[in-house]
Amino acid sequence: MTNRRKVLAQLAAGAAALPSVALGATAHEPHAHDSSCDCVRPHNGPYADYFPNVVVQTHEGRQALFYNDLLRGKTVLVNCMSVRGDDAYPVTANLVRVQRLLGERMGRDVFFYSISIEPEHDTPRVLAAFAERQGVGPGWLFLTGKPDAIELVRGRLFAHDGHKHGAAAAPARDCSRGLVRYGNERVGLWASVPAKTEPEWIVKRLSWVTPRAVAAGPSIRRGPTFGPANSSRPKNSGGAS
Amino acid sequence: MKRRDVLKLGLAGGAGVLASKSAPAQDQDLLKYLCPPDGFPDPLATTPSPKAEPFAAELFVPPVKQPVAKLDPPPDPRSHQRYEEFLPKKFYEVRETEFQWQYHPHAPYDKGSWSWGFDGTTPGPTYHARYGEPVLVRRHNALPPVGQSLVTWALPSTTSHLHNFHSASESDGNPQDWIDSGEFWDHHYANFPSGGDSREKLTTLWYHDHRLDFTASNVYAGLAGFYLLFDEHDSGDENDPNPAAWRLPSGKYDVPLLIHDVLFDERGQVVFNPFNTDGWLGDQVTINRKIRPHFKVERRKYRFRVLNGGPSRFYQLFLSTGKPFLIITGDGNFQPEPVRAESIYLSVAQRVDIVIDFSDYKVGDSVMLINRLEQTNGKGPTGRLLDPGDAILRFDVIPSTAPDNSRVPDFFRPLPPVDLSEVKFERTWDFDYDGGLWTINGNVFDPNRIDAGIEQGSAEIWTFRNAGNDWAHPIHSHFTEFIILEINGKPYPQTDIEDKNRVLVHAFGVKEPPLKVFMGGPRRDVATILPGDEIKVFMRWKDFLGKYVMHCHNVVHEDHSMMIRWDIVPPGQGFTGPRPATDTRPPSLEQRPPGAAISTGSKPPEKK
Repeated sequence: MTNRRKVLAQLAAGAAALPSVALGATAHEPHAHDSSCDCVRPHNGPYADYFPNVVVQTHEGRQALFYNDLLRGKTVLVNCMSVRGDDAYPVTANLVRVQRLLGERMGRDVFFYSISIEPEHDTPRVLAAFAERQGVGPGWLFLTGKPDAIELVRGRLFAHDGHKHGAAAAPARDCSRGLVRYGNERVGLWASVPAKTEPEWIVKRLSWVTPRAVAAGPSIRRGPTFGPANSSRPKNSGGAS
Repeated sequence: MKRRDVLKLGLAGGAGVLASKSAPAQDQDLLKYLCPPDGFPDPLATTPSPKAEPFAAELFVPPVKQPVAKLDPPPDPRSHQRYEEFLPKKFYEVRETEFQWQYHPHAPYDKGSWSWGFDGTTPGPTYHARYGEPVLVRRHNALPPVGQSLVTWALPSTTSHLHNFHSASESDGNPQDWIDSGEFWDHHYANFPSGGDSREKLTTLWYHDHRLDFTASNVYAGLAGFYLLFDEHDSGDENDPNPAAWRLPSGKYDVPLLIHDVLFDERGQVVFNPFNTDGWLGDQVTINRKIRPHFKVERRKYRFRVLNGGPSRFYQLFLSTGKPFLIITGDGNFQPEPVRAESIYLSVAQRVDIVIDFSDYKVGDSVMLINRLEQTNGKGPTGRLLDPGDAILRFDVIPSTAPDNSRVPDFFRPLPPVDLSEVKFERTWDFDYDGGLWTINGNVFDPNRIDAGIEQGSAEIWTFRNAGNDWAHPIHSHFTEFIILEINGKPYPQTDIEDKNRVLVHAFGVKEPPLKVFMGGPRRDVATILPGDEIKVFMRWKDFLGKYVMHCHNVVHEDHSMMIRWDIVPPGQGFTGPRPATDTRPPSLEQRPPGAAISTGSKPPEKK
């Protein structure tokens, strides 16, 4: 039995008094059981086995299961941050601009999660104050929790083998603060965008991972036109044979 | 007790109190381990692929793409620069599709792995093109859209880049020139060398997907293939009566070998982890998408076009017999003369054409191609050589069926000259890491920011600098090759070749002894900057205008933004960036139908 399995056994044995209220009704649905995983979890996203289903706390003071409640079946943006770190390397403000562009889609088709990698400092109360200052609206949760649970989440969303950086001052804890993951876990399609990308391009990316239908009929032509009406036609002044 | 049992127990006890708010505080941390990730490979310590018997699979040789009589609707000349000057003489039509590809004949691979490719194969068909014969390739995206595709982790929205080719911008397969399912794009390949200078000719090229944010996953899914350029010398006919012809091995004796490393799950389906920023490694090395195949070769000469298709692994290749390779091209460029080397170093996207003469062996002999370069994470190789290494392809020698009329000439073509008087700008590019992002001069890719305005008809000197000591970057700039001027401050005469320790060991004309390592030669389109490296190169830009990119060809780094846009601009209008692009709209002839992005309401694809 691996160390982790021992921990599991101990935890499970003591789990008679499992705490917490999970967000939403979905956490209480009967769970599907997949033969490839001997753990009980709803299994309707391709990365269901990849994400830790840990308990996290929201800035609204509630608890949630990270996979079941927050990712499963949803289109999301996820980043790692900290309230203190956001002063030095602000990314929240840009995501607030994205939130404004999305308008009513926030919390309906799209959810934002900002995971604090300083969970001891960033209590729900600290995060709530930060969210209010930044103008964060519905559909966007700032998440904190037990440090090792948060680290498990961070390690899966932003996986790397560490980056030695010579003499340059690297942050003690590299949380990939410049990156935002975007994905549609209903499909299992994920990618990343730099956190400071123009908001319009971040919104555009959400449409890329949205299921779509293909119009019936023949294939549609794409490509530029350099027609006479278009002043952007490149003029060639160099010479080739 | 099995873990499943204890968890059941735990849940049975816990289910009733999930809704309880009065749980003791000390139990707050119990749920966090309820379902740790376990069924999907750890991103940095992956579950190995199912075993696959080496050399049980037969090498797949992609078919040669055949032209069509006409295209319907016809190409629009207004979509292309210099179309009338280089009217296509051949038209091709190809479809990107999803299919089950058999990587290996044994279980679990025998049932096929969901893949993407062109016309139902991966690699897609090989194009045989000739200088002086412009062609137009119409590529249809016939992939199932998001939500229906069974390759769930790649984006069925594509842009085909012809790597190393002298393309007009709109035919280059720029990362932002994508087509979605149900759309097509016409790529016009004028097939003339840069500036009309025959010394600028290219040879072995490859096409691959370049979709913004999804290059790694889309290429890994299978969207790649070869595009070979011939001329009167390299005529593709070993029996060519033309005295100018080099008569290199041709036809079925001219074989492209595309190397990809792939990871599979227990059902033989391809696994990709989009959350890993280092780079992605597979443990099954495939040649033309067959796991460690065998290839029956006649007792005669063969030309192999070896390409590292990535996504992130580097290779150092040896022959099992200990004999040196006879190398004729590096990165698709003919060397001035053949080079002999004991090993070949291939970073991602690098190519090398080699000639192996199997008449040196007896019928029944086997010769293996072996990778000995150790790489333990996606960031780059360790530099250690493994012994014995990993045999990735086995050649089985059989009797020849006809006389071998092929030859390898003593000389090919001279390199393009370096003329420093053409230089208008010198630019330095620092490749680094910042907060999860791979950066160039501290910046991340923005398709609307131009980091260099390059004057058409001019040359520039670029310095690629690896600011890290823990990773390697194969740096590729589109459209034009470069000539190496300096490596780590040391001049690099065009006649010399360096070994892996960046020591000049060989001048052309010296036949013995063979090189220890061939790194690509003086003229390349991939600058491999190993930790701490600095490579200074000379490049020239001619003939077209428009947007292009330079990026790391560890395509996971590219997708985490290690890419810049540069534009070719009219003479006199060059600039150092950054500068916003004036027209930020991806131009198009027809608008995509509004509301195309609708929910299908269908159930998500079943886990494969």
